[in-house]
Amino acid sequence: MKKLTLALALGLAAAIALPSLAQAREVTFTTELKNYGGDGAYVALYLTDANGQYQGTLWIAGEKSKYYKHLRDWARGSGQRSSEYDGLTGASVGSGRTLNITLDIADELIDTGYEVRLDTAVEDRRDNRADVVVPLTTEGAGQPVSGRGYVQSLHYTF
Amino acid sequence: MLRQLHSLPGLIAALFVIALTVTGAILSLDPALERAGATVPPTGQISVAELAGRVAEHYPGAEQIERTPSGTLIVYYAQDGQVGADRVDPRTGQAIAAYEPSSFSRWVKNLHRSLLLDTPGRAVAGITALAMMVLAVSGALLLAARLGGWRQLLRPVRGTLSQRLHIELGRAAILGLLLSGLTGTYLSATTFGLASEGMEAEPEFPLEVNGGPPAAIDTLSALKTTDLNDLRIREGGRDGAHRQGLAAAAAARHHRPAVKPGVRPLGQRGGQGTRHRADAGLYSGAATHHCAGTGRAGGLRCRRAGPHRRAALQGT
Repeated sequence: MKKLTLALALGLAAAIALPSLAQAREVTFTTELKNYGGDGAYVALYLTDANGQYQGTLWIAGEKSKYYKHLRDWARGSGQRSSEYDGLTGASVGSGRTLNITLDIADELIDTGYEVRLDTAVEDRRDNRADVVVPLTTEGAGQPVSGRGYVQSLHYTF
Repeated sequence: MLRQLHSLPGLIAALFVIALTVTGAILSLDPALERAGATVPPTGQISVAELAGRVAEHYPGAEQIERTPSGTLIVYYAQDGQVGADRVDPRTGQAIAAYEPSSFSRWVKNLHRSLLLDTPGRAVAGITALAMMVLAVSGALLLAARLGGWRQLLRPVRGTLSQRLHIELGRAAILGLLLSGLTGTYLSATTFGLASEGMEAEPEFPLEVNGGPPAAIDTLSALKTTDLNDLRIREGGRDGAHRQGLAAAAAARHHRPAVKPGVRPLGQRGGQGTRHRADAGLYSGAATHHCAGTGRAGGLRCRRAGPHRRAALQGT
C-alpha cells in the first residue's frame, strides 16, 4: 500500500452494464492527490447520473476489498458486488502521488449528463464521499477540478 | 531436540523479533500518551446530547463526532467546500487543533506490522509472531527441564551471566510474550483471511426516517441519558488483547451498510437553519432506538449531514 507505481496507464474496456455500445472513446483520468500525510489512499472512480445515482465503476485503487466499505457512496451504489469492479482494481495511491487511468467509455455516456465522482479513504483519517464531482463532457476535457478532501485535482482527456 | 527448537528459530528470526518487539514497545505507549493529552470529564458530567449541542454551535457542517477509546474527541465536518477533522474540547465543543495523526506513530506502526514492505512484510511479521510463540513455549519447556520440574520454575538459576540474564528476563516476560505472539498470529491470520474477524455488531444506518421537523440534537432523550465516557464503537476484542487492553484509534471505523431494496431516499428538509437540520443519523420518535448507546457492541453515532452528503443521498 505504501509503495505505489506513479502512473498506471492501462487500456481497459470499461465494464459498464449499459446498452450495447456502438462507439467508444478512450478517456484518460488523471488524479493528483495532496500531500495529506497518511498511508496509501483507497480511491473509487465511478460514474453517476445527474442525480448522483450510481451507474457504474471505472476504477478502484486499493487491493483489500474489506476496506471498500469506506468508499461510502460508491459502496452504497454498487453494493460492493465484485461483478461491479472485477478487473478494475489496482494499487492504492500514496500521498502526493498521481493516478492515471485510461478507459474506453461509450459515447452515450459523454455529454449526456453523467458525472464522474471520486470517493477517497485513508486509514486512520477521514473517509470522503464525493471528493470530486465533475460532469463528463467534451468541453470539460483538460479542465482540472479540485477536490475537497485528499484530491488535489482531477482532469480527464480524450 | 527441544534445544534446537528453541535456538534455531531464535537465531533465524532474531532480527525480525527484535524489530517487532522494539516497535511494539514503542507503539504500546501511544494510548497512554493520547490519554494524557485528552481532557476527559468525570463520568456523569457531560452527556452526549450536551456535547453534540455544543459541537453543533461551532460546526454547522459537522458530519460525525467520534470519541476514540483513549478519550480524544474528533469532529468530522465539511465547511466552505472543504472537509476536515478537528479535535475538540468536550467542555466547550471548540476546536483544540486539527486532527493530525502523528506520522512517526504511523511509520512505527507500518514497521511493526509489515516491516515497511506491504503484504510480503505482513507475511514475515505473521511468521515472526508464530516464531515468538514457539520460542516462548520451547523456552518454558527447556527451563522446566533445567530446573527439574514445573514447580521449580521460579527457583534461582545457576550458570554464566548471559544464561542467567536470558532465563531471568525470559521467565519474567514469558506471559506477555505468549499473549503478544498469540494475538499477533491471530491478527496476521485475519489479515490473510485465514481466520474470521468476527461480526461487526453495529446498528443499521437508517436511510429512511419518518418525515417531520427534525429536533435539535441536544434534546434527544437517548443522547441525554448517555454519558460522554460511554460513547464508543466496539470492534472485536482481538485488537484490544494485542495491545493489552488498549484499543487503537483505528478501531473507530464507522460502517455504513449497502442500500436495502425498497428504501426511499431522504428528501430535503427546508429552512430551519443548519442547527436544526437532521439527516439519517438524527431523528426523533420511532427510530430513536438506533441511537441508544449502551457502551456495548453497537456504540452510538450521531451524524449531521452537510450539503455534500445531502447531494449524495438524493436520488438513490
